[in-house]
Parts: sequence; C-alpha cells; structure tokens
Amino acid sequence: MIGRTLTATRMGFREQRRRPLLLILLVVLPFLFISWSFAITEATPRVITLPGGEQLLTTMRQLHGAIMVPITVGFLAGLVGLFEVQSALESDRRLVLAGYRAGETMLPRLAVLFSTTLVVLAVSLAVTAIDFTPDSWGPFVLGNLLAGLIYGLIGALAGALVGRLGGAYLMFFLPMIDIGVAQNPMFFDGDPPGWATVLPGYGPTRVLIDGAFSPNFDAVGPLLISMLWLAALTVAVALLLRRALGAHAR
Amino acid sequence: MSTIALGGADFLREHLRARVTLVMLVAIPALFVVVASSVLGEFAAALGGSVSGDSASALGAGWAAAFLAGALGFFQVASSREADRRLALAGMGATKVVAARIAASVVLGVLVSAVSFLTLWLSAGVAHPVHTFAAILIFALIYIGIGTLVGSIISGALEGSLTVAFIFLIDAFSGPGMSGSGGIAQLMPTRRAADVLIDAGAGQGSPIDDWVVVALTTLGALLLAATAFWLAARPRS
Repeated sequence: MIGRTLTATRMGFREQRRRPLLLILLVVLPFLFISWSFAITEATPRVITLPGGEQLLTTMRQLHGAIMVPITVGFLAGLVGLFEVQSALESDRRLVLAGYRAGETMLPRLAVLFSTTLVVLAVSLAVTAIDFTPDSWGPFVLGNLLAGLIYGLIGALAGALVGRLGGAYLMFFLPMIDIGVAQNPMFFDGDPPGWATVLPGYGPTRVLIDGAFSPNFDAVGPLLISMLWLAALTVAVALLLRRALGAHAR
Repeated sequence: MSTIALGGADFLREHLRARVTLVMLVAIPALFVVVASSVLGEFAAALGGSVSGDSASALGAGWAAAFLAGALGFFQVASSREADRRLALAGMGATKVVAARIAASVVLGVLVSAVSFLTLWLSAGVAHPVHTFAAILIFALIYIGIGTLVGSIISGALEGSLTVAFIFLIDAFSGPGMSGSGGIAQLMPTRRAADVLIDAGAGQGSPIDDWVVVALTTLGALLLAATAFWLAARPRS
C-alpha cells in the first residue's frame, strides 16, 4: 500500500514538473502581486485593532503588503486545489478501478496541494521580506500557511461539489471577498465586521495580523478557529473524494 | 441564420447545463458588488487614486463583470476545442461555429453585466443607468476577448485561469481612479471603459472621444474572440 501511494505521489510531482508555465506562474504571480502592492500604496497612517484588543498606528502600505500575502496564497492554493481534485475525479477513478484504494489516490493529490501551497507561501514571504518585517515571524508564517491550506481545501471541495466551471468562478472571487475585503484591516475601521468572523479567512488573517504587528501572541482564539476550519475541511474533502472515487469503482 | 441561433443556444445550454454554474454566475457578481461597493473608495484612496462614492461602487460592478467574463471566455475556448472542430467538419462550417460561439459569449456577458448592474442599482443606486450598463457590458465584452485569447494560447485550465487573473489584477489596480494615470496604465484594456463607468457612476456623461475608443476596443476584443474561436474550429489538412 505504501509503495503504491509513493508511486502515485511521485507521478503527481512529475506531472507538476512537466508544466513549466504553471511553475513560472506560481513564482511570478506572488512576486508581482506583492511587490506591486507595496509599490503602489501610499504610506498614509491607519489605526488597526489587533487580536488582543490593542490599537496600533501603522500605514496603509504596510497593511496592504502584509494582507496581499494571504490573498495571494489563498487565491493560488484555492485554484490549485480545485483543479487537482478535478484531475483526480477524471483520472484517479481509473486507478481505483485498477485496484488502488480511494485513500491511496487521495494522499498524493493532497501532497501536491500541500507542496504547491508551500512553494507559493515561500515565494510570497521572500518577496514580502524585502519591504516589510513582521514583529513576529512565527505567527505571520503560520497564519499565511493556514490561509493557504484552508483555501486549498475549499478549492478541492468546490472542485468536487460544484464542478470545474462553477468552482473556478467561486475560487476567483471567494478569497478576494473574504481575505481581500472582509478580513482586510485596510477597511472597516481596521477591525473585521461581525459577519466576517464566520468566514474561513477570519482565523488565519487575525493570526497573521497579530504576527505582523505585535511581538506577543494574542491570537489563540483565531488560531483555534483556523484549526477547526482546517480539520473540518480535511474531513469533508476526504469523505467527498472517497465517495466520488469509491462509488465509481463499485 | 437559424443554424447559428441553434448552435448559440446549444453552446449556452452546454455552459449552463449545471444549475450550480448559473447560480454562481448570478450570485458571485452580486455578492462582490455588495461587499466591494463599501470599501472601493477607501482602497482607491490608499493607492493614491481619486475615485470615491458611487463612482467607486460602479467600478466594482465593472470589475465583477469583467473577471467573470474573462473566466467565461477562457473556458469557452479551452473546453470547446475538439468539439468545435468536429462540429465544423460535420457540416456546420467554421464560420457558423464561430458566430454561434460569439453569440453565446455575448449573451453570457449580458447576463453577468445585468446581474452586476442590478446589484449596483439596488445596493448603491445608479445616477446614469444607460451609460452605467453600457460601460459594465463593455468591461465584460473586453474580457471575453481577453479570456478567449488566453484560451487559444494556453490549454491548461489552471495556467489559463491564473493568466486571466493576472491580466485582470494588473488592469484593475492600474486603472483610472486607482494607482495609475500614466505609463503602462494608458495601455490597459479597460482604461477608457473605466473612465466612462466612473463618469456614469457620478451621474455625468462622457466625451465622445471616450465612447469612440471604447467602441473600437470592444470591437477589437470581439474580433480577438472570433479569431480564437476560429483557430479552434478551423479545418486542418
């Protein structure tokens, strides 16, 4: 079983290596989005509220640069998750018919999604570090990673539930509406409005904002919320894929 | 003519046969317009731009229509390559396939524009309805051209989607009222359409020069789309 999963994982990564345009886009897009956000934003003063309740004076440029990381990572990971699952639904059914278990085909797909998220996150953080140094790197990296993983799984869920086209429409807009607008401290008096707390981007964004602008970690609540989202989405994606792939094999 | 109409209707049905796709086409621009209309003025100010109030809300409606139309154009070409060639070979002919595809794309563009426009009207009000709807539709038609062009060059769904998103974000962020006024901003595809939309949002008409440029840009985008569809459907020896 482990051997077959490893083989499928190797094939999954080989497939990604054979898509040079995708690799270029996954590196170039974060670089352009984030560096450009720093370049075009004015350094106007802005008061925001940190997760611990403390108010802090910063600038729109710093905020825009920091918030572009989860927007970029969430957006790219979401689309990768969507099309990975679409690809799984098309080709992994054959593997299941040929004797693979559904779980053995799912793990390689999730490994590709996780690795792609890490690549995009690494590029995004490297670009951000040119213009912005968070007060605390740990929570900043963790919040962004959670945003990427949560949106990667939402993309996977969209791929399984609403199809390629509907999923693409959804994943084009959802990270922008959630992280780009609802959670963005550039708007709404620097604190997300009440309705934004039920969205998946709330927890990760509060964690990374805390890391970006505070040396202390006061975002335990948002971190727990993020972990709950991550666990629930992982279970949902696993169940959906298992059913989709397994049902076909019967 | 009836062949084109029938083909166009079939292409539309193909695109919307999953009920959830239609729901997304209606719900997503509506949601985006409602959420973005409250913050776009603030965002423009952060970028050093001047657009605010109703003009900023109107610009958000144009963006929503454009982004969806770009994806729509891309997937029309990306998913139709093989089918269109067979349809053309089976007797419909490449020209009629292209006309039917363009007709279907324009109808879908009108749909997303209408949703964006109505949401804008209900959520923020529209001072100059005719100009506003025309400008939103022009955003959509220009992005149908861009999406189909990307689809004719890039076959991978993920790579194509990312490319459309990249073009859209550069265009939107460097547009009038946002960060750009000179240099590369002058070359952006929806620059003049954004000028018209911002004016309409503020209840003003636009100079005839703007309309001429906007009309030419839209025509060029639709010609691009027609070329992309023709390249997909053309007979090969």
